[in-house]
Amino acid sequence: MARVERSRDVSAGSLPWLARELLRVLPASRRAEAIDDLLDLHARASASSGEGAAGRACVREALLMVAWSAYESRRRRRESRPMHHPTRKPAMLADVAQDLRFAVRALGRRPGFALITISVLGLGIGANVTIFTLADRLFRDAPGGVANAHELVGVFRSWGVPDAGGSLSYPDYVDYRAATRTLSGLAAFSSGTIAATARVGGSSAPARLLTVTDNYFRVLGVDPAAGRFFRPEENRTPDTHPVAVVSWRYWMDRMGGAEAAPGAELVINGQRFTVIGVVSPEFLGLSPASPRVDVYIPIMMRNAVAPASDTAWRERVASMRDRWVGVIGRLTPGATVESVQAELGPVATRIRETWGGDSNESVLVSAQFRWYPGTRASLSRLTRMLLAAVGLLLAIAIANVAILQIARASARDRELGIRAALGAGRGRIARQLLAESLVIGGAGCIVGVALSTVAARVAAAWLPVSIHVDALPDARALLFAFVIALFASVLVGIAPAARGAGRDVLGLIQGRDRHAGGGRVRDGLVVLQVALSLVLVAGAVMFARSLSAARSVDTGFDDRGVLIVGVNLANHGYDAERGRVFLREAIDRLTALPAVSVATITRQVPFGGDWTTDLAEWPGADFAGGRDTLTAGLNVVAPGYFEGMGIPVLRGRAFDRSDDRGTAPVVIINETFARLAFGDADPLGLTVPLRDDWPPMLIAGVVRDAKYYQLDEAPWPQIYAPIQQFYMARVHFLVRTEGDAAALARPVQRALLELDPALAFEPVETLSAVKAEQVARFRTTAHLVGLTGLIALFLACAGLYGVMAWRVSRRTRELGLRMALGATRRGLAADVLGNGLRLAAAGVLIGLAAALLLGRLVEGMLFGVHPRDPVSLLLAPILLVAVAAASLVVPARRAMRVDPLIAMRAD
Amino acid sequence: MARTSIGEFEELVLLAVRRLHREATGGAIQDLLRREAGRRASLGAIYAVLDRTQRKGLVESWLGAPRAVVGGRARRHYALTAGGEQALSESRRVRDALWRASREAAT
Repeated sequence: MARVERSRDVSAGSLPWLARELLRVLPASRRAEAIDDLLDLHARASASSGEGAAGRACVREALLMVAWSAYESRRRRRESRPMHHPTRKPAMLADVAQDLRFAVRALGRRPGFALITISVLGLGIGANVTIFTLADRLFRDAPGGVANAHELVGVFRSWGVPDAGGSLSYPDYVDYRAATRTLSGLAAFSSGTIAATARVGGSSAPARLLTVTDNYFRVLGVDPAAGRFFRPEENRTPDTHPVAVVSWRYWMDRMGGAEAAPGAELVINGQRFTVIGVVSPEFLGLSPASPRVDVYIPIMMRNAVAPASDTAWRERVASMRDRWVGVIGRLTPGATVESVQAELGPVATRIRETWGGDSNESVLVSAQFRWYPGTRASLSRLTRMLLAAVGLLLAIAIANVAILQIARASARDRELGIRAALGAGRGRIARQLLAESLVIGGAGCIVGVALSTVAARVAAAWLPVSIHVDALPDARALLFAFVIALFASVLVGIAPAARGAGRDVLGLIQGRDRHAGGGRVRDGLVVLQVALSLVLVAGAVMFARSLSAARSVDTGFDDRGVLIVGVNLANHGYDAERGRVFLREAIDRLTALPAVSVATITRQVPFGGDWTTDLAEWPGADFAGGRDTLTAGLNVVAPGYFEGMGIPVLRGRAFDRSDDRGTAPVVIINETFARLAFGDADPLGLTVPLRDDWPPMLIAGVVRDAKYYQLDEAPWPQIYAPIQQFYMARVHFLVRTEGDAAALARPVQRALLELDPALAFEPVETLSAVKAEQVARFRTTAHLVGLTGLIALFLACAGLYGVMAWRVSRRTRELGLRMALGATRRGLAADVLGNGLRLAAAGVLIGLAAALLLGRLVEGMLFGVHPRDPVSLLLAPILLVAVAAASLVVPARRAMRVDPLIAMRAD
Repeated sequence: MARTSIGEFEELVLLAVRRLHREATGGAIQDLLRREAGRRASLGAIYAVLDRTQRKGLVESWLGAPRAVVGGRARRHYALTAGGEQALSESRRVRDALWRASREAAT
């Protein structure tokens, strides 16, 4: 059978090419017969009127065969349809289906083209779906298990800085809760979790605790999966109601699930608690970045699980200065964020007037209860910027595919001409081209979504907060992908469709129309691509520079060769007395270790916390600008700290062993504290009131500023107190060595375990790793924007290459003619190069203007680099033009190699 | 069976098939129509009519014997069925009746 087919094809060889091609379109049942008849016709006609006329006659017959065949099959379909459904719609649907089928076939014939366009669009769509998914997770997703999340509001302390908001003190919370009428409930929770050890039955395991007010679950509208939640009386007085609520997961994993009824006993850090309820399995915390909580206990029971903690507990609960609770409320029907703000504002003023405080201090009510306002602002800046970046990338991808489509459409002039000759209307042809774009877009959508499932998880790991991203995209992400894919398809399809419609049909078939149309659109698209990618490349260069600036920033301390080992003595039954002894002995042992040059203790690890304290104005202080409080960081350290950290002492002295319980309390301050509190006066010998009920502490020295909380923070006032005078149970041992700090981890832990074999360590890390983690924040943007910029650069240059290569191939005849008339090869190559570079230059200029305008999108995200950084705005164009020139080399060389004879003979 | 009415071009093609008597192929029909009826019909149109009349059961087709030349192949031939004969005579009867009627009216 196959042989017979071949022999037919061979014998059909005397027919003109176009006729043979046309016959392929006929149904197979008819093809053989048609070939035979045409062969007969051709033989007869060439005998009577010559070969050329016979060929033309055959083409004409073949054309009409195709037309009739199409007409008949449509007619047959119409006839076979039941007569009582003569609606227009099914016919249109059938047309659309046919268009799509045809488009799939047409693309299948050019797999290379399909592969490139689908991957390019897929890349653009995937990048957008990725960032969209992240933004959704960060800001939109309602926390699971929470009823009517839109009614919840966060209540924060504000201090007159936009987007700034922080924790409240417990008395603040009590006042707001008593005063509010616009909120049906106001709940508080400790802003951090407590790492504890919990014993169930006979086995102990670590558990993460959150302390909450009695109404926490009621305000959130979370249901118990078993038992009940707290009652008001259970959070009224300290240490009186040892009741606990456990998470679903903890209940299932640690307490045997359904069999263990509420009423079970849970021993947390040695204190017996009764489990009264289990949280609904959907509730995993308020914010997507919340750590998993195992056990909830009343705030008033906090002291029971962490006895002898850093500050006396009763003092902390009562203190107006310690801000440590997060507060969340539920709106009554009809109330709004504004009405709550209007109600609580005067309460905040009253509190401030009663207790004193900064004049711009107030309360901030926000519908964004998932994040602290500052975190939310920086995350939303980040996602906005990333959305803009991937939006640009999508635009570049669309322009790129549109260029390819136009080039391909013009290569298909003849095919389109034939279709027009067969009676396909302009609309029909435009629709056909659009259908191809839709198929590309649809496939790109699938590729993009698949890409985003991987990319979203990678990008989520790069985010400054850790969030969980599901393996599969949700309905919203899919809808978003679909919408942008449709949008991209239409944009990609418009240019070739508009071009395909309304052309000189005969000209198209005969290839006369080769130089007309599309050129300007294509040039425009190339310029657009270059401009957009310049913006992204400039951004990428900026973020790369920002990252390198963050890497080389002066932190004020020397992070090399320092190991940090954290312990919490409160969890091991130490009171302050025994704790002091243990710490002193521990330092002695660690100092004695070989290779250790300094061993000391610090409460805080750089970038590790935000334990600040407010100091009211005191005699001798000289606050500038009418301020009456100074918010300073407080760290408690052992002798040797400044030496161990490499922080130079500028005046006075560092701590030594004489700073003990029996001697006069002393502190050391940093330069910024000295400047803000005392101006030009010499602070040595002056005093600082660290706590209301303590004697003022003498300033013994001034040390250099360092970074305490963030890499990019402005110089911040800091106080250091000696640990023997200001005991803290949760501390870090800090060990400096000349060699490899990580190698010290085992010897250091062994030495500490010799003192107390029961000691448990918090994660052990090196100071340089801690710093690297900070730098990672700037790596997020550097990586994401860098990657986007790289893809953009590649796409833009591929687009430029494509257009110039296409143009050279189209201008073969002209180039050949010019060469025949005496143009040099070098001249022709320069012509091509010049043309391409002119397009690139136009794009660069537009892109520079856009980059200047878009600079504010990256404000606050850069480290030590201005949003209109001249170096980046200079480097990016150079880079872009260089790569563009490289991509023009091939077309230019091709132009040089044009052979005038062959070129003139083409066609 | 319902009577099948045929159009003018269909009638011409059927007559050609009848005239060619089991030797009808697309090309032969085209040739005959040009010579005898002075009609220039495209092969496409003739195929369309042959398809249509075949579906209506007026024409049948079969592959003939391969031609006795190098590479010669079997060709598709067409012939009228009884139904086709009947449709042609019906068409003629209607015409004749109308002719007669118009002649009587004219005199």
